[in-house]
Amino acid sequence: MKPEILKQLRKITPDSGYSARAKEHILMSAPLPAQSGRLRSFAAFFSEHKLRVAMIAMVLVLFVGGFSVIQLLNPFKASPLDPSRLKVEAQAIDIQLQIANVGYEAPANGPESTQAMSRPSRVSRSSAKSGAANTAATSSPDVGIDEALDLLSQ
Amino acid sequence: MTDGEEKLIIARAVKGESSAFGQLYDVYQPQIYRFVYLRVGQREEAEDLTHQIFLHAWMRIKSYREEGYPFSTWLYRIARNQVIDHYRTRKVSQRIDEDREDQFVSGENVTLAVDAKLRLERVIRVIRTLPGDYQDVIVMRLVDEVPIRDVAKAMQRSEGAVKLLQFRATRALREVLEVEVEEESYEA
Repeated sequence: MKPEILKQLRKITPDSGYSARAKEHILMSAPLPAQSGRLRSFAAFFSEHKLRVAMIAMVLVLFVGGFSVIQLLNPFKASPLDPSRLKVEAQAIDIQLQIANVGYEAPANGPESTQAMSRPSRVSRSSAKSGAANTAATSSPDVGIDEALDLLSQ
Repeated sequence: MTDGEEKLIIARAVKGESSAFGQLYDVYQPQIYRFVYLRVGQREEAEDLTHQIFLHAWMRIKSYREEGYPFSTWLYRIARNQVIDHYRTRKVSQRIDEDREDQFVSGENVTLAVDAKLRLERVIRVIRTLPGDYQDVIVMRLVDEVPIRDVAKAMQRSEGAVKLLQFRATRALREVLEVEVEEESYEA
């Protein structure tokens, strides 16, 4: 293939009428202000890596959006109840019921009962501890759960 | 226009002087139009794209920095990007304007012989069958004789890559043209 034939392609030129009209139309517009160095480099980077920037942005949106959805679906977050506070309150109820059981299991005699009240026996103490697991199911005739909750609220 | 004169004109255009950019337009518009026409093959689309290229260049002239390359290198880069976007967004037909003799009219109104015109049309058609990068290198290096360094900057590739592209493009163009010539001789 001869290079001269390619050089003949230089004879391809635009229509003169079109050129004049196009030039006039272009020069009627005002050029944009110069971009700062950082902005220009950012714009150049963005224009060269459009697809990558778009994909990274999409991943970030999905990640943040998914994280937000998880937070919304969290029942503890949705409800006004605080699990740690509930745990503390439950432990307090347990202690109150143990004290109530100790009082209930104390003997009817005066000094023994007094002594029993002041110094709960190991048997009664252990029975109170073993009874702790059943406090939810059984209630003391002296102090019920409702009363215990009332005491706690005070 | 000498290099020094051009630099002064470019400096005035960068400041926003429209008459200075008009001078640059007069110098480079035929070259860019030719590049675009050989890429898209249709006069109207080549005119539209050339218009967009120079409009884009004028709108962003204040951000232009020489960086040691001619002004045409910046224009070629804009032109390449516009042609790539054009192919991405539109379904482009392969037709070329075969019925416009004034496509090859120079400033002196020279008309070409029929066989030379047909040969040129064949070359244009073959060039457009090649990959985009091959077309760019053929037009810039072989038609407009743009230096390799400037072509590398416009295409955002190394000079070695441009040389390799030119070698492959020339070989591909020769192969396709030879096949076409052989087919024509068989048909005749």
